[in-house]
Amino acid sequence: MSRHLRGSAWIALVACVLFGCRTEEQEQPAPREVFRWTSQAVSFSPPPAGWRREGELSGGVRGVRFVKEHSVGEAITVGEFHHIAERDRTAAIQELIDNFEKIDRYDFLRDSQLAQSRTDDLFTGHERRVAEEVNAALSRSRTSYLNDDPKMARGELENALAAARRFRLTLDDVLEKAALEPLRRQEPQRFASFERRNLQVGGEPAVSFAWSFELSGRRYERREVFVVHRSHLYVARFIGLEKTVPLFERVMTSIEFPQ
Amino acid sequence: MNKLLAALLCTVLAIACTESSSPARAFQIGKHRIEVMVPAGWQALDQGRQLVFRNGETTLIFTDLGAVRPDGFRDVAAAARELWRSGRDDEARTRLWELPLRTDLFESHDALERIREPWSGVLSVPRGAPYADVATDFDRLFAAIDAMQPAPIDRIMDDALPRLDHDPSRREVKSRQATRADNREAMLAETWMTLTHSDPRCLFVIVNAGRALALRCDRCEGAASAAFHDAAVSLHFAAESRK
Repeated sequence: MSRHLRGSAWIALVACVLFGCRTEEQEQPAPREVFRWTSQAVSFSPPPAGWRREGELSGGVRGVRFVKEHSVGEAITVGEFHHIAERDRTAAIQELIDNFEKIDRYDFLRDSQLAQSRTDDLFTGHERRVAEEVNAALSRSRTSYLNDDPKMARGELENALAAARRFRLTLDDVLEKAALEPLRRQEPQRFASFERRNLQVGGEPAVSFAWSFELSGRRYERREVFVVHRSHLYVARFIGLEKTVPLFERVMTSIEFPQ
Repeated sequence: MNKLLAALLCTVLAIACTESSSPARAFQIGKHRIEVMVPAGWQALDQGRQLVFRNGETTLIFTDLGAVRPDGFRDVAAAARELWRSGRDDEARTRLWELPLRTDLFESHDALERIREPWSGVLSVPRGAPYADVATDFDRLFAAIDAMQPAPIDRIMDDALPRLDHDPSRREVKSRQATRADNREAMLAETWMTLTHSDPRCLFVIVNAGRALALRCDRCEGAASAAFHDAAVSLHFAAESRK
């Protein structure tokens, strides 16, 4: 080894000792943050500084996208399917009960109408039965309210809340229609070759899809991980280079669902 | 000798370059008379109901949010009554519309209705009516204000948030902390974008003589955050202001 090369090696060693031998693969996520995009909170450790934050509001997903600055378009997204979250009516009905003494007639009639469950485009028969029970109780509550019987009106709100709490959707219920159909439409050629893997995220069963593609002479990795917690469907997405996959994995596995 | 001169020059330069806040300046913001330090390098723009400190793209905005507690309500109603008594019922009506009949400032819907009823009574008389026609409703209005419970500071912050452009569909309250400034009740709050936890905004609301004064700082990071906190800490109300 020439004297020059030995010198470079020493400099590299000293730099490693002083500054650490961290590579991009070992990039550590930032401290955990709690996000409240809907009535169910989700917490995770976001990517570190150098990943710009943008709001994600597309494809029925509400969440945050972290875009790596000065990169080749690498991004990590964590979000929630809000059209599924909105089927959980417990928060809306609970708010109505909490504000029952304070709100006036107009607000009560409006808010109780808006608290109703949707009855179209349902995933399961169970969801339909719960929706009908919730709506019937809310309707009885409005009738009692208009008949100047606030005690009965409040009691029916409690019945609506009890029915809404029985609402349950599992990953199997929603995965195909909410998650896989759009993916299949986006990637009709490659979808069959996606690598599917079952895993646990935040203590819940989850499913991961992995594939890659070439663009402008670069190989990009894609990941989509879906998980359901308390009938709320979440997705963690990645697009980027292979060397950044470990960071995505660390962000994704840090996902938890606080009470 | 050269080293000594260089050290002396560095010291002189360091002192010259040290940023120092200018002394406190007096401003009138709506009904509030305040003294506050204008951060060094910032420009103060007096816009009447609000005061803006500007430094490039960054702004600190003081705003008079109006009456929030019974003494503030009483001042508004008293001014309206004097105007009516002097035959200026049109101006009196304008004053009465300043009464914030908003739910967050009342302990219950009934408490709000107790004030709304005489307030509506005064406003519903024909234009040009003499004071004698509204005297009873004014008396009832004052009695209802006297019976009103002062809103706690967190409810005053709840009431202030939408008036400070807080859109709960886009932003959430990250933190709030009750505090005191110039021996008055106050609250500090920080909001950020719900989706991304970015774009922090700092808010400070203080109650003076039953009226709220707000200080707002958008993109409240780094130097802007320091200027915001300095301004909140240095805030002082004029001697004749009630607490």
